[in-house]
Amino acid sequence: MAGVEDASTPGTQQDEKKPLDGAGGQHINLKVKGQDGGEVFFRIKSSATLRKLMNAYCDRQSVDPSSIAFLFDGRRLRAEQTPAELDMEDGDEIDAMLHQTGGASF
Amino acid sequence: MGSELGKVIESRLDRGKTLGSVVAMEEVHRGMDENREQEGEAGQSEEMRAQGELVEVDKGSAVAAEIDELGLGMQLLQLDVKKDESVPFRVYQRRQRTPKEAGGNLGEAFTPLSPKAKAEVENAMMHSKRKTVLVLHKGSNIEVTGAVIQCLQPYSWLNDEVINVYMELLKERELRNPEKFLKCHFFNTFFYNKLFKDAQSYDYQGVRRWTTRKKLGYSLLECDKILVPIHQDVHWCLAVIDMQRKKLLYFDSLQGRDSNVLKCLARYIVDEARERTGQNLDVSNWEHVFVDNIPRQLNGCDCGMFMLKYADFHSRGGSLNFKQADMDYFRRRTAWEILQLRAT
Repeated sequence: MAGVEDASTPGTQQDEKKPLDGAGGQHINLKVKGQDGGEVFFRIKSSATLRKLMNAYCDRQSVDPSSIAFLFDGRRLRAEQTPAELDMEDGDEIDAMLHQTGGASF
Repeated sequence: MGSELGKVIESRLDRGKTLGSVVAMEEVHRGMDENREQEGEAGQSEEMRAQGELVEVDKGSAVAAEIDELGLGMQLLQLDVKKDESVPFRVYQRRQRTPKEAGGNLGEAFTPLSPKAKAEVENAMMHSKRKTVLVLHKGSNIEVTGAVIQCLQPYSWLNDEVINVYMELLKERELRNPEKFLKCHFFNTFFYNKLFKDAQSYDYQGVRRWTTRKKLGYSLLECDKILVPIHQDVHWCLAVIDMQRKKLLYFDSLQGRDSNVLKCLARYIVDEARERTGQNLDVSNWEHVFVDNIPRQLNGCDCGMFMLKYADFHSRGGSLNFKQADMDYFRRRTAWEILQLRAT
């Protein structure tokens, strides 16, 4: 997947891989944390949109992207946003939350 | 219809005058509800709903009906009142009062939707709109598609998107009118999952960065109330950290109880105070209350709507003066407010 690398299995330090997409821009490592506590690490260019990271995460977890809300410090992320515009720093964590619904308890 | 309604209210008012006591709007509502149920047609009866509250002004005789000028129902009533000169009370224009003075700022909570608004809501609910992005709430980055908003149709379960965007709209409403609404913070539906629920252990670090002053634009600790939606797997509830009255409250439309919620929130507010101010906040004598005299859900689908209205009415600073029969109206109204990206 261009521009983003699934850098590891949960909990391991990723290798310094050469990023796949275009020249320039700083790369940062981001962690996506699921509700089961599982963590997936990604290395992404600060100026690249989060779309690829989101899709890569959903592919890996075998979930439909529309079923997940990605949060950064509690705020929803949109696929068009970039780490740079969000002031994300190396090592920052993104939460992957399943959408919720409810009507009554049983 | 108008005169019939007028009579009902008139009789209530007469009684209030004779007794020289405050006439509570609840009384009037009840009378009107009987009226409404007889009519059967929900759409029409909404128009009939009177707004505002009735209060005694001077101790002599006059009873003032404080009205919401937007309320069509009350406009009808006002005409009736004016026609009948034998009724010795005056109708005043709405005047600005703080929520506390008013005992709740509920006048606008039941304003009927215009035919145009109803038509637009109907339109948004069409199956063909499911994949269309109807609105984007920029502050929260939430895209509301037809599929999202269709959960506001009667009998559907509410989804997190609708709840989260509505909480944002309630905050924006308060910021537009800070003198009229209590200072509240509205957490999103994921907060409690991160704080406790997902890992089933308390984790302040998971939410530590959510509430910096820079992110919020205000200090969480200075809020009158902190509202926390609670997702109980298939059920929505609301928890409130009442900073003013030093209480932790739990509102469940089905009267469930979850003591973990209040314990975690008590711990959270202590950690939050320490993080932001370095102060030790003592909550050991804050009361934990599972509030039970609240509007109750009488079906298996409206808990989300009840939860949103608990939040709405808290922000208004008023009592939870609504019931199951209001839910269809509230669903339509909420859809309309979301489509406008503006809660009123």
